[in-house]
Amino acid sequence: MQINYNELLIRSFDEQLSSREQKLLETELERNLELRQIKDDLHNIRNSLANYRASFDDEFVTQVLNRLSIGGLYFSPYYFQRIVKWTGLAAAAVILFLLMLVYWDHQTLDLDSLLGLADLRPEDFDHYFANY
Amino acid sequence: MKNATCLEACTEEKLVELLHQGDQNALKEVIRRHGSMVARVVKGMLGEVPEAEDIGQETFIRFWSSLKTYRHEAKLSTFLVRIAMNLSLNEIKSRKKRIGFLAVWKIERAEEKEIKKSNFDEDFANNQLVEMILAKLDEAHRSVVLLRLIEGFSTKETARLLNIPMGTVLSRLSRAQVKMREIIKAIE
Repeated sequence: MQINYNELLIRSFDEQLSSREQKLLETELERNLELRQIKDDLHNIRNSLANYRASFDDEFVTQVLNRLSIGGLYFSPYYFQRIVKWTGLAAAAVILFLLMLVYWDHQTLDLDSLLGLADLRPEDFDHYFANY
Repeated sequence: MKNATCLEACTEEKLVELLHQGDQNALKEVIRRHGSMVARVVKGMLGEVPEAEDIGQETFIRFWSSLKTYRHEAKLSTFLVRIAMNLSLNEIKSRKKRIGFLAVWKIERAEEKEIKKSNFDEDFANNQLVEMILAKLDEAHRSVVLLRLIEGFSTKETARLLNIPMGTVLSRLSRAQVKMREIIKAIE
């Protein structure tokens, strides 16, 4: 049966290998340079992970207590920013779409076209105001 | 000040007793003792994003509001990690629903930035490296790596915290290590 020494090596970090498996692995490690390299790499990765550090902002405790004092109800500035950002993007998309419609219709984006006055003639005003 | 000194010397049992009495100074002490661990779990899962601070705060708010159900069967750290991990996984789910490809793009941009400034000092470089590796793992493998290899929970505890069988923890851990080595080799 073919033994997968890489798998055996990885397992050896987290599981208790049987004495036969342990012996096989040790023998292979002695003669296989590449396997020793993999072992060193995995050791280094584990060391890096074990030394990972993270912390919250200095105001973290105050913010938690503030949120508790208002009964946990809280909307973070981040969510407001996100709402503003998406609302802005939606509004910009609508305006762009309307500008495209105007340009499609009039082949220009001058003020009259934008205000909807481009197709009006002076007599249209007379006709409009005649009803009042 | 005297109270703070007392709290620092408090056993976990005493601290829990004070928490049950609604003592907010005891909560401060819990944050002091376990804040870094919660930060590692949340930021390890989500990356250095603004939501991470909110999820961290939410972890302690949930902890405070669920104290009635806490009976000291598990250690405080285990209880907090479970809350932090669940909230982080929920945030990842809703992030995927919200902005799918944009979120992935943001992570990739962050990775580029991290690699560029990874020479400042050893600790900083190590943190950037770990964050980059974690960002490249999918959340199933990332959560196992975080709990088992970063926080040092046993295989059994990791399985309990993630509600998965021990065999799954071991196989994910094994695949994650192969993947992490590939990531490191790719950037060397």
